[in-house]
Amino acid sequence: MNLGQFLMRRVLHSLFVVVGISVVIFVIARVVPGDPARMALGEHASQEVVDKLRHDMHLDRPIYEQYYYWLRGVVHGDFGYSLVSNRPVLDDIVDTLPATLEIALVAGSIMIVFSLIFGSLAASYRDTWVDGVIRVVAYFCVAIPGFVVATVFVMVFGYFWHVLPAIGRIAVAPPPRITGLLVIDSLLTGNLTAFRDALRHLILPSVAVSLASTFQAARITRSSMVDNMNKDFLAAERGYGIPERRIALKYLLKPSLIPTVSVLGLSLANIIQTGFLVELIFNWPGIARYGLQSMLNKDLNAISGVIVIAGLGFAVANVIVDLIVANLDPRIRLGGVKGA
Amino acid sequence: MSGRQKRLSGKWSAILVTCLVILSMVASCAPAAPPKTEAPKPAAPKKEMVVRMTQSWPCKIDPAVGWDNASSVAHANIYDTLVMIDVDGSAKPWVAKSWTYDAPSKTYTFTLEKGVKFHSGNVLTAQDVVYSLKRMLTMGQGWSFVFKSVIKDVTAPAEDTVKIALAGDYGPFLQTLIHMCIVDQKTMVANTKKDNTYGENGDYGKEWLTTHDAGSGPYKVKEMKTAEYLLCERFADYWKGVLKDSPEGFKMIGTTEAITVRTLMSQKDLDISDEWQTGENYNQMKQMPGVKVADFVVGGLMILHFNTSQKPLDDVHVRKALQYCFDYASAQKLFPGAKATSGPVGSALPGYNEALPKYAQDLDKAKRELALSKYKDTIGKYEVELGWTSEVPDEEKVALLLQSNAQQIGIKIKVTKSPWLTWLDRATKPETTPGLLARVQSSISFPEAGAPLDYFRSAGRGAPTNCHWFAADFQTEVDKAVADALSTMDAAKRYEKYKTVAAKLVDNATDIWMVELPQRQAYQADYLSWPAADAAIAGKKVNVLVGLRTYFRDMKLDASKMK
Repeated sequence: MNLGQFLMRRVLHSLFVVVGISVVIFVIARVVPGDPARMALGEHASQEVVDKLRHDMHLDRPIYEQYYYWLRGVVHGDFGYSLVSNRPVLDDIVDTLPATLEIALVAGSIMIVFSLIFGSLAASYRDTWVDGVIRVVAYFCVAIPGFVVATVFVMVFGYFWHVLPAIGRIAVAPPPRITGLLVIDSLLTGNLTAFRDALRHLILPSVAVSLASTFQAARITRSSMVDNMNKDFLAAERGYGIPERRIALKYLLKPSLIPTVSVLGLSLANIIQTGFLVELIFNWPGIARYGLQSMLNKDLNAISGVIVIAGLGFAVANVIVDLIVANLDPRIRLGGVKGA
Repeated sequence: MSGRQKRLSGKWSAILVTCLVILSMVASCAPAAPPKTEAPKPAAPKKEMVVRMTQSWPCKIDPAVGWDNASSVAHANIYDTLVMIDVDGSAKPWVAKSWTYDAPSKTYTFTLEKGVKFHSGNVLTAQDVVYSLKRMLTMGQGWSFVFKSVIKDVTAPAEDTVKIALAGDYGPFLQTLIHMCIVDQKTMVANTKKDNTYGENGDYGKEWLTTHDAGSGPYKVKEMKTAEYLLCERFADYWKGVLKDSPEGFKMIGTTEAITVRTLMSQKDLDISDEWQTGENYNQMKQMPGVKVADFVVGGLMILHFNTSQKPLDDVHVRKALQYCFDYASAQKLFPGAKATSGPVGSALPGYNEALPKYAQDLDKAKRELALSKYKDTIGKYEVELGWTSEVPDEEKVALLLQSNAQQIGIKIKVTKSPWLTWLDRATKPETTPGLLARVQSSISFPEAGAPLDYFRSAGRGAPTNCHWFAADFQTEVDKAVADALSTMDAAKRYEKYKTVAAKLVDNATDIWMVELPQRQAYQADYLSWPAADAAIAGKKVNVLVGLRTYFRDMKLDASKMK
């Protein structure tokens, strides 16, 4: 199988996974107790009004019919109406997704850069105090949940030191919307004040979200590099007289990155699921927080919409990870891997 | 360049890039250094005279949809109503400059002020009032339940005259009009989506009004980020005029996270907190320089509702035993500012019965009541479920307190926690309603004792506000008594009837009224003048309606003391 066929197969698999997730979540959201119509209209709304809304949402139809109506809408780009915001769910997603993507971009950059640095350092100086310090810090960072980190950050940098902003995406006038990512939009429009302010607002939530994954990936990088250190091909390169530093950065790091890339890819895609508490604490108007509020309010259309987006995010992340791994592992690129 | 030189330059490039990344992040934290040149200093940027407030979210700015606290604050400041409610609970002229009531036809005739402009520039006429009321009744959401069985018809015989015909005499009708915000019909029709939701009225402008406004109030919507905040700016052509030093705008921020609110308060990035903070957080904020905490006594109660259809709570003596065993004094200590209660009506509401005794723990009395009940020998066989809402952590404290108190008289209580959605569902049937359900009564539909008493009527059954499931004869009695009180047009006579109804409910031990809870809010007193908060701190009466208490037009900001 060549790379193209391999990727096509992955894309098809991903599509099935997303459809499967949508079915599962659709059913779960509807069988969990609670009447979404009553929740949306309030406890004092009359039964006629509640019944009308249930009828409009097809909630009085069998579940497979409800799924059919919903799927038909999604295929046409219509995720339905949000019971909470009274707007099309797609509008809510368009508003909230860029905010989470912005955190994901910065968090991803932090994860990639620092996991490689710390992982390489720990492997290069394995069994020394450098390795020990990185290991201890990694244990702490992986063990502490992101929302605890977020709370501590707000207290330390917002409450005691007043160094960084505690909420929101920007305090100055935002730039005109092009992508919805304030950092990029401000650069594109040459608004450096907005760029600087948006970046300041991004620091705390991005670090809170990325800390555990960064050190988890660093540990994996270290283990992978240590595993590969005694391989024959490295002995051959040493025999050729290639400097150790060059061996570490070029010949050792590259093949050791395969598990790291897989973990980082999944961690990035996971931000939509796990970032909601961080977004809640920082009042960050992202899709993760939107998803949480939808679940608490049993906003069925919004729940399904967020889950589909999250599923797509995972699927895309998996495909990108596969592409990178194919680049790192020539055997995949040259078609030497069967059934991968 | 040799291979070694290339490798070295590559290595140093990598180190340089990493350092630049770290430096740029650190540098962005630092405040900008002042310029060193001698150029003339530009004028200091004008301070934003905007009151920033946190609130629970979502906020529904459509006056026919929202009815929670956040929405009520928005409506009160963006829209006008026919009447305004005074601190004593009476209705005073507002957009309606006068009115008459014709008893035989049960019709109110309102004469409107002339020259009231909407934010769009359109002039407010009687047709707008008719449209607004019909829209609210048709959509059936928000505060419409207050008017549903009360209003028979509404017409506009002249441009400045509105006639509202009632289905029957309804004493507090004028007060309920505070929830009927007037929208600009022309603007609404122009922004109505043509679908079949409400027949020829399309979606009644519901989608558009989610992020815009069609009001005439002192503030208009500048930006509504449904997931984040509501930003409003002052309406320069407000018909009542612009008050000196009043805020140029207000911003409601959708968060109630304790650490976030506390941090913003400390940084002076927040001017008024929401009312949902914990006691610990209010105490912390009170320590901050310039911050005060106001306790608004507005009829709020923490209640445990009895499901009187369930054994052994179908026996009034068991209910009274639980009432007397509860440690009210400890409950008050759990909530700073809390007061003792005496029944289903808060002390701030007109029609409150001062003659009813305040509840206090009396274990002997509790045991005597239990001895009178038909379950006196078998009470140990029953386990009463006490439900509390996971979104209101304070309820757990009182639930555990009652569980411990009840143990002392031999009644077993099982405490269960569930989300509000679950209780909303379970309260619809007597067999699924828990024996006891905790609830915080914070908002009321009109500023009289009749508002909380109205919940006891059978029309409201099957909701957490009324999950008592009374026996048929008692329910009929309550329905008759409440209806009679509400249909009394004379206020003084109506209040006396409210007192009788309250006494009846107390006698039947329909609930455990644990404490009277003030609504607490922290605010920056050093630069924000908030008349309602000042009155509360001075122990004076305040408006019981949250929207009118948080009327930004009446506030003043001192720019010289702001950050």
